[in-house]
Amino acid sequence: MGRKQWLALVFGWLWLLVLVDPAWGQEAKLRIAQGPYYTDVAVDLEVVAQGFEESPEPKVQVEEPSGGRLELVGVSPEVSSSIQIINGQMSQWKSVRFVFHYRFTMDQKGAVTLGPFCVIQGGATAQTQSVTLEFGEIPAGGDQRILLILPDEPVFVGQRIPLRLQWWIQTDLVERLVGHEVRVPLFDMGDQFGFEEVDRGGQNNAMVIQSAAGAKKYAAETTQEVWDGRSWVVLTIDRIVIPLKGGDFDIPAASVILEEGVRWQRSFFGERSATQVRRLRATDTPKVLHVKPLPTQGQPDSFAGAIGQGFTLEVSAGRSVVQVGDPIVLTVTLRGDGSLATASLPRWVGGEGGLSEKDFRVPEGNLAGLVEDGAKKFEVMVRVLHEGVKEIPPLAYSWFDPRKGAYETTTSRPIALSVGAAKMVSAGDVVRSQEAAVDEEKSEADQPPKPPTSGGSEQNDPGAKGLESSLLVGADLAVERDVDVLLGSGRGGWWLAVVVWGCYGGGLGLLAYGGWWWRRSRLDPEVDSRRRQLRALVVGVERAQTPHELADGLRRMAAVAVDVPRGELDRLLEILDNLAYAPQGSGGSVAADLKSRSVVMARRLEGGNVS
Amino acid sequence: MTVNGRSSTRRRLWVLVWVIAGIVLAQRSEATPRERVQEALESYAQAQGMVDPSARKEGFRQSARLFEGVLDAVRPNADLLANLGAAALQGGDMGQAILAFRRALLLEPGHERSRTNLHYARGLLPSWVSRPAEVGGWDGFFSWWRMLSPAQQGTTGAIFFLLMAGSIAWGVRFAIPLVRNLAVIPGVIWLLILAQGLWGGEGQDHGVIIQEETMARAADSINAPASFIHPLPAGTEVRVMEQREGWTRIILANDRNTWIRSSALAWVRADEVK
Repeated sequence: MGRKQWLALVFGWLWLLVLVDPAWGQEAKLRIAQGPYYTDVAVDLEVVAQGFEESPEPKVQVEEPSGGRLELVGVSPEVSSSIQIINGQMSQWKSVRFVFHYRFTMDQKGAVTLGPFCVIQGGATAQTQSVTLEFGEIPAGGDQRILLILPDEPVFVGQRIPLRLQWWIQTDLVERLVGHEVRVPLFDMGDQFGFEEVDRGGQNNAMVIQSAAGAKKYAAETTQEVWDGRSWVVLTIDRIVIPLKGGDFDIPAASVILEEGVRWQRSFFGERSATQVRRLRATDTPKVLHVKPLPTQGQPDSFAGAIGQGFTLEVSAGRSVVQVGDPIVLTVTLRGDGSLATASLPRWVGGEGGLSEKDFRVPEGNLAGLVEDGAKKFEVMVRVLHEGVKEIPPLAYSWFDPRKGAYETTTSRPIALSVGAAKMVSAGDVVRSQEAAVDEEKSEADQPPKPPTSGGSEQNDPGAKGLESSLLVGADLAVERDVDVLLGSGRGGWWLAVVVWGCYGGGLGLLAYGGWWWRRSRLDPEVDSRRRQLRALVVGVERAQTPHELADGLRRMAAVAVDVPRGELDRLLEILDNLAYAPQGSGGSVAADLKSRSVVMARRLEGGNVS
Repeated sequence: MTVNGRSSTRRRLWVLVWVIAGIVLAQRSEATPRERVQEALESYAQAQGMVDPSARKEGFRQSARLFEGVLDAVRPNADLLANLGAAALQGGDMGQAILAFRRALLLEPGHERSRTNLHYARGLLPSWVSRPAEVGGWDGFFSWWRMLSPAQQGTTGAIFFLLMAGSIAWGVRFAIPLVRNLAVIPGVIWLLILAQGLWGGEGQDHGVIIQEETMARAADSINAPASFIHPLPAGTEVRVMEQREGWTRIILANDRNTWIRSSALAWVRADEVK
């Protein structure tokens, strides 16, 4: 083979290598923040990868360094493209760059080697160089201290424990304070503890606390204190920590790294800035938190996990006059010194201090409540199952008091109910369209008539009828069937009216008689005697048959009477005498009119003496 | 008589026949009280025989309506009112039931069926509803007097009147002052009975709420706040203090007074309906 052929073969192989091996276009670089480097102070690193495809995202492989923690913070892909048109010819370029952000924190003083970082995308790889860093320790500063205050006594799972983080800085140092970095490992123990913020209203500052998820600002209260004969500025953060599991937990010490300005300069605008800073460190002591599980012995059925003190339960019903099956919305208001946000209601059906399954139907599952104005409100819809229910009974709610180490229970007040029978809806009550009615009639034309249906399954239960009947046990439900009695004609009550009328009539008669007799007894005896005589003489005149007898009777009366109409009497007597002594005689009889005149005169003589 | 005269006469006769027939039919279409009572009793028996609770209840309600209709036609008596109360009780109308039993006991205080059912009807009311204290039959010196109906009390008064009049007449007739003066005793008793019948008496100013869920208010206005958390159920027994346009002031058994709509209240003594 000649020289030219060999060169062509070599270049051909090289060309093929370039085509086959895509790694030839990729590269990866490592960029590190400038030192010096200190323990517990995170160092930012970036791995920049270029020449890879836009997708999929490349992976980075690196050996975990010893003595520290290397964390991938994030990935920033950058894709740029450009188009150039020269003399009608278009050229297009595309650049893809991935930046992988890392953070490395060293735990102890010394040297550590990071890398190499290997970027892999499918078959393409690129690798950075490794780097060795020297970490020193930040000196402890005597003009500051950090305290994480936790209870020493054992606590219980779920108990809300107040914790306080205080950073004491001497007043003189505050003016030279450029920056700070606080680390509280307890705040990163999210698997073992839950946290709640506390708003005391006096927070006028903020403290930045570094965590695994990054820096987070917490509201802090700034106060002036005097300690050890010196004036201090104290930043205080209050939180609530809630143990999620039982056990003894080692809480690493909290620490703060303060950046103190050593040299300063003023800008053109008069602003003061530090040209040289030094770091000072303060560390708290590690702690151990003993968390005990809640006692299972003696745990009441109405316990739903609440821990705290002074819980109260108020229950109100949306309505109290209902029919069987109607929904009743119970508003349950829970108050207490505990974690209301996580508080839930116990299962009140079938347990002690709850609703009987025979009387109520309660929906299954946990109910979500709403916390407002220091209370948590739940709405529970219950349904009454029968008319015998008279009230919503007292509902119990239990909680664990960590101070007492025992379960406490409170109950709500009972709520009176008036339960009527359910209104039944039959097929006839349902309004249907004409077409549906016709279709239904056709489909049921050949079927036998069905008995009346009822609205609820309870109504078909013979026990329901028995229960309804049982409400009237002891009542006398037999009715009077005698129609005459019901019409008021069978009992003979008419005789009472007769007796009443008879008594009053008889009584009035007796009173009248008594009055008459009393009046009579008041008369003058002589007058009375005269009146009697005249009465007897009147009778004699009435019985007289002859003129002689009539005249005699009238004369006797005139002799007794006081008031005598002489003229008329004399004329009448003359007529009677003429008849009596007539030579022919009257035959002993008197004419009727003459007799009548005589009787009238006699009565007149009698009447004239009535006083 | 001419042809025209005969035809006019015939016409008048037909008119008369139709008028008489109309009167007779009208009389027959109007059921007699006896028939209405029998219809009510049959309806009650029918309701008792029903198995379906809702139909049974409706049957008793129908029976109660029929008994109530009879009351419009005849003089009320304790048995009829007790039947009405039993039908209303089983028909779920507590107000009507308690009212009927109260009226029955007013007419006949010793009516045992009404007394028993009134006791149980009161027991069916919600426990928070105040109830009048139940007076037993023989738990007081004058308890025998309460056992007499107003008619019997009136009869007793008439008898004392007769005794008074007889004493007076006898004393005057035979001039015995002692007998005459002793008439004061039956006379005073008669006056007391008369006064009690006119101004006192059982059921005076007593009423029963007949409307379900009657809202009791602090004043005689629809906008006045409610007096109690719960509305008063039908069957609540009250006493009437005052009446204004459309509103009645009542006193409950626990001496609490409140205002309700007059339409929600029925008087125990029907003759006091105002």
